[in-house]
Amino acid sequence: MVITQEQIDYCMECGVCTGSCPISRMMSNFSPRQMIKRTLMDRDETVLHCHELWSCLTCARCSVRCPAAIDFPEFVRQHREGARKEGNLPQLAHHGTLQAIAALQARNIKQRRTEWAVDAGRFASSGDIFFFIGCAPYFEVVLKPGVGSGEVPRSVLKLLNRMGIEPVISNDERCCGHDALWSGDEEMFRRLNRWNLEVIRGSGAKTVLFSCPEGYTVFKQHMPKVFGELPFEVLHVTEFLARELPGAGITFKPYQENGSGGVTYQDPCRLGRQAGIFDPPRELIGLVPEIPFVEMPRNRENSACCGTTAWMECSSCSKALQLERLQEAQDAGAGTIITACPKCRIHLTCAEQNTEYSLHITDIYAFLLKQME
Amino acid sequence: MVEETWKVLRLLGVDERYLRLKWVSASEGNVFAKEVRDFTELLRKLGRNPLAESGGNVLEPVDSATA
Ligand code: SF4
Ligand code: SF4
Repeated sequence: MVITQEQIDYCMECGVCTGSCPISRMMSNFSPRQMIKRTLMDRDETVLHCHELWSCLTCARCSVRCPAAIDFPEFVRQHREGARKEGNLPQLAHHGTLQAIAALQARNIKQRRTEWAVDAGRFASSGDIFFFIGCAPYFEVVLKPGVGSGEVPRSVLKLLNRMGIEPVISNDERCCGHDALWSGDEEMFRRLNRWNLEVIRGSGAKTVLFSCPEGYTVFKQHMPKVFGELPFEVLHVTEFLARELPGAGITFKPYQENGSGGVTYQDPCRLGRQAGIFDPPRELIGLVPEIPFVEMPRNRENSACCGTTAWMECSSCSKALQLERLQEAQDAGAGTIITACPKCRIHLTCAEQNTEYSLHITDIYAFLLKQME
Repeated sequence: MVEETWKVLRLLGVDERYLRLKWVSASEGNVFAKEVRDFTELLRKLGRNPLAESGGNVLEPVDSATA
C-alpha cells in the first residue's frame, strides 16, 4: 500500500478518522491520524513498538469516511507484520487457544471438523456448491456455552437442504487465515489457503458459500491478490439466499411479536463496510411477513463494530462498545438482534451475559430457519 | 478444560488418548506408578504425537486426489 505525498498533505489537515473511531472515543491516546503522521511525516519507527497498533479493530469506520482514500486498516495490517518481527505482540483472548488451533491446522492432520453435520443434514463430497464452514466447530468447543457458535453452520446446512441443495463440506477444509492475516502473519494465511484452494478445486465446486464474513472477505478480496483469480464463484450465504430463496417455493410464517419487541440487524464490519453487502440480509429478514423491523441509528456504513477482532485485545473497551450497542438496539425498540457473522453473535451474546439486558441475539440463518413453514 | 481439549484433539483428528487425566491420592504410590507405566506403554504404542513431530509436518500443497 502506497500513500502519496498528496494524500499525506491532505491527511495532516484532517482528522476525520480519529473523530469517527470507536476506539479513539474510549482511549484518548489512540489516534489513527497521529499514527499515520508519526510513520510517514516524522519517520518515527516507535510506531512498530506501540501497543495502539493492536488496539485498532480494523473495522473500517475511519477508512470509508477518509476524504483522501487512505485505507487505515490496511496500513495497520501491514505494520503489524513489522511489529510482530520486532516482538511487539497483541494480547490474545481465550489464552491464545484459538490462535493455537489455527496454527495446528497448518500441519498435516486429518480433521473431523464435519462430524456435527451428520445429525444436522445432508451433504456431499463433490458437487457444484461448496459450503465453507469455517472454524465454528472449534469455537463451539472452546468458547463458553450459550454463545451459539455451532448453530451457524447447522442452520445453513438445513436451509440449503430445504432448498434441495446438498452442498459439499469437507474435513480437509482449514482455517481461512483471516485472523492470522489481520494479526500480521501473512505467511500463515498463505499456507492455510494454498491448501484450501486445492481442497475446493478437488471437490469440483463452481460456487463457494461462506456463512462467515471473515472467510468471505479473505476469499473475495485477499486471496486473488496472492493466488490470482480464483476458479470458482465466491458468495456470502446471504447473497446466495437473497438471490435464490424468493424463487425456491419456500414460505415463511408471520412473525409473532408477542411483546418481544422489534427486530434489528447488526451489520458485521467485514460484510458491510469491507464487502459492501448491506441489502441482502435486510431483504432476507423482509421475507418474513409482519416482521417489526427497526434500524439502529448506527447502521449500514455507519454501523458499530462488535468490539473485538481476531480473538485479541478483548478489553474493557470492547465491553463498553458492546454494551453501548445493546443499549442502542434496546433504545431503537428492538428485542431481537440478528447478525450475519458468527463472531458478532458470539461477542454480543458474551457481553450480554451477566447484565440486565435481555435481548435475543441470533444469526440470520437460525432466524430464517425458525420462520420457515 | 481437559474435556474441551479432548474435543479439540478429536476435531483435529488426533487420538484423544494422548491426553490423560487421572486423580491419584498422594498415599496411593502403587496406583500412581501403575498409571504412569500404563500411559507410557500406550504412548509407545500410539507413536509420536503427530502434532509435535518435527519435519514434514507443515502443510504443503496437496494433491487434490488425496484431499
Ligand atoms: S480521515 Fe484520512 S485523511 Fe483524514 S486524518 Fe484520517 S487518514 Fe488522514
Ligand atoms: S479501523 Fe476502526 S478501530 Fe481502527 S482506527 Fe479505523 S475506526 Fe478506529
